[in-house]
Amino acid sequence: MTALTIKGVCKSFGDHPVLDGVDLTVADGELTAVLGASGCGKTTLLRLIAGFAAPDEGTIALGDDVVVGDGTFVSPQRRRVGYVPQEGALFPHLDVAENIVFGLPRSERKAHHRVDELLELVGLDRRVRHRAPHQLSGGQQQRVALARALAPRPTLLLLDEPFSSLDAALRTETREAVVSALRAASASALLVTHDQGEAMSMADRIAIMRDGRIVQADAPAAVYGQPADAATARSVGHANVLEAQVRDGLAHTSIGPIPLRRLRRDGPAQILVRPEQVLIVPADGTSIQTLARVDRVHFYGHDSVVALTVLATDERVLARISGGTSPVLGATVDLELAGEAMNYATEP
Amino acid sequence: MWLLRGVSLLVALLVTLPLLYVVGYTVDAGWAQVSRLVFRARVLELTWNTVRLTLAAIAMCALVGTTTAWLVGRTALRGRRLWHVLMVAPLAIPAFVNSYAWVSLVPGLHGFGGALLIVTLSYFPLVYLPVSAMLGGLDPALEEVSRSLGFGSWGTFRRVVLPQLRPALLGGSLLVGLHLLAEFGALRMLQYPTFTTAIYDQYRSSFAGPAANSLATVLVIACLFLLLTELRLRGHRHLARVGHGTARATTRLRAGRWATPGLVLVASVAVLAVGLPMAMLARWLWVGSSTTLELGTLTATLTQSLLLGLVAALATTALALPVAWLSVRHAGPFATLLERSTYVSSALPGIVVALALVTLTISFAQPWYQTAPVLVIAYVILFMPRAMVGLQAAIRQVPPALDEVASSLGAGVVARFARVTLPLIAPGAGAGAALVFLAVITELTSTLLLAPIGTETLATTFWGYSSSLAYGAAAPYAVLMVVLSLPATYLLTRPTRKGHLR
Repeated sequence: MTALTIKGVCKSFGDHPVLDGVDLTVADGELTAVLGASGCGKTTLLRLIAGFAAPDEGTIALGDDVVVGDGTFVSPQRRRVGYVPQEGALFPHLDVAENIVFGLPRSERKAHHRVDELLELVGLDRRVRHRAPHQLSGGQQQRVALARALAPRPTLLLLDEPFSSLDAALRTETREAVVSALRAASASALLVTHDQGEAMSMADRIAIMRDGRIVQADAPAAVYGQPADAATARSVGHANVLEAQVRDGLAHTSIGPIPLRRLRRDGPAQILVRPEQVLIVPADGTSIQTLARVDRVHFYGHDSVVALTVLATDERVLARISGGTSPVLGATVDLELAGEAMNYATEP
Repeated sequence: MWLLRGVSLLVALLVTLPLLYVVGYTVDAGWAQVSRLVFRARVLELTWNTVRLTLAAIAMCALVGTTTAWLVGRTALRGRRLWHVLMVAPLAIPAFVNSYAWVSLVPGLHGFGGALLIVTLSYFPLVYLPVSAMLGGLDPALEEVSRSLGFGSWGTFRRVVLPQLRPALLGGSLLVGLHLLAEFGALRMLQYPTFTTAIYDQYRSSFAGPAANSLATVLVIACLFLLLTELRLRGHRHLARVGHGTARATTRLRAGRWATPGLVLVASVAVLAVGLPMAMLARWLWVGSSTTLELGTLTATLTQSLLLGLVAALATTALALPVAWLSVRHAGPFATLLERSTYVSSALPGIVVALALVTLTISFAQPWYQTAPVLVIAYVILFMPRAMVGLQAAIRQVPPALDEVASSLGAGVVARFARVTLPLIAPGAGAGAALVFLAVITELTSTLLLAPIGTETLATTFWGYSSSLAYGAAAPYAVLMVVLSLPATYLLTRPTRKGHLR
């Protein structure tokens, strides 16, 4: 059973096409992230699903009910879709509890039905129930907005970059709270974001969106390990482009040979390898050496990304190393490749 | 959406009715007749009177308003908060009450000189307010740079401050000009004939005849000319800064040897514009209460004034709401046109609006002639911008996302309005409605022409008494008008509020 089915949705503003034939499904109880750069049309897609705008073409179905397409248009208030906008958009004239019960029938509103339960679900203390929105921190506001969206038990929850206005520490914490709240409510959700880390860590499935199309929809590991094309590979993490000669299923690069994930005929090619596939090894003089110079070290604490120049060819590559040991700037090191390289018909 | 557009269009049509009428009349009457009625010696004299008083008053108000604003805002004057309130306070005293106070003290105060004195004292706050708001928002760094480049305080003022004040000065001057073209009571009392007083006289002698209407055409042209001139001179600078109440620390000059003259100047403006009228009111109230006070009439008049003000405030706010909503949420050429049209109409003098409504009701809706609804419509036309400004500001502060969230939570159009929009815009709408209410309380010209027989407001009763030189009997009504105007005036002294006055 699918919570959301989108088929062939197109939308233009003036003569500027924003969505160009979008197909996407969200399975029941699943969190799908739509990942794309700003301006790729992901927010427009969300607004079409919510019913704030109508597509020019295509159909959108929630469960088995077509809400848009084939001449029907169901208004937003009849779609039973929960919506959490960027800044939370809590009603400033209502306190936390009143915000949460906004979408419930009048009798349940009066009784503050489910308020405590929902506060607990999103990880908020019961004492905030009578606070005004402006007395809450950004993360708390987002959690209340989530509780408000979950209160009427929607068939699908839409999250529009809900963490982008939060600072780094708060963002991680709020993400975790949201994921566990969604799991506990076994709600289906569609999250729109431009943050690949957010999409990878939160979602069951990632849909990569570019130029108004979904180019790949898969599990995070599959999108990272088997991206549909080079641009997709880059949109979910760093990727090195290397010149290679293909012979017998092996790509021979300046750093050495590496097996290809997909077979292709022999000849010159460009291949992609992730920085963690580039290994920095001590120069021991036994194997064939690929000498490279350390240009820069970006230290992230849990790991470092090292920028190197291969001395023989002047190719620039990135290598990811874990732990606290980092090579000295300007030092000469030996490189090796591990795993399989990504390669595409149209490169890169 | 289409309903919203339709309703907004109807509102815009309603408020542009007087303007459309004047244009229609002029076209209909034909050039020959209009020119015969307009190009006369009498009209030439009126034109001369009107033009020279308008220009002189604009110049005087700009001078007094800017000087006092600079003295209060930028020098280390003692008791600046008090002086600020006193410089805005003349707005609480209707010009016709001010002239009554002066004439009752100096009976010989007539003609150009007297008129210029009174209108300057009554209208200089219209320049003072925007200029002082602008002075408070100027970047002090610019002045510091100028000083470091070797310019003294006068040089800096002339070369740096004054150019930046241009939009405020122009806006204030436009308001002074429009007020002056519309002014009836004060000038009539000072026996200084202008277009507005002449139209009133024509109306009294020959009703809404061709002569009155032709004069109205000229007056409308003068108003539109002022509006266009201001728009032209202002250019695009307007967008730069106006209306943002940024609280930046501004430096204050130590006035040094000019401290005393500065203080004397501000104090004498306060005495002439506020102290003297208030003292005269107090005196006549004392005299009047001992002789002719009829408490019953006073109560009845007050009730009618309050009732009219309340109904007009509600009607204006309700009618302004769809236009304000459209202009904020669905901005576009159509919405802007509708919104602007409500401003243009309200720039017309009350006498023109009233004359148009008199003629239109007599021609097309005879039973409605001189009824309360038509009077309320006149108030709506005249004072809609006051409601519009507050509503637009309030709607702008309501993020559209709230509406979307509410609809995704199942709330329909009506529920969204009642549960989200209305509670959020209520303060802004209330402030706008209060401004309309207070404008109605002191409105004289339209009320004189349109009020139903037997309906007397504070303003018309005061006018009746003071015209027949019953100064004592008139005083209580004037005092009530001033007292009722005080809260709105105080609202204007708060720095963040840049009220659109009329």
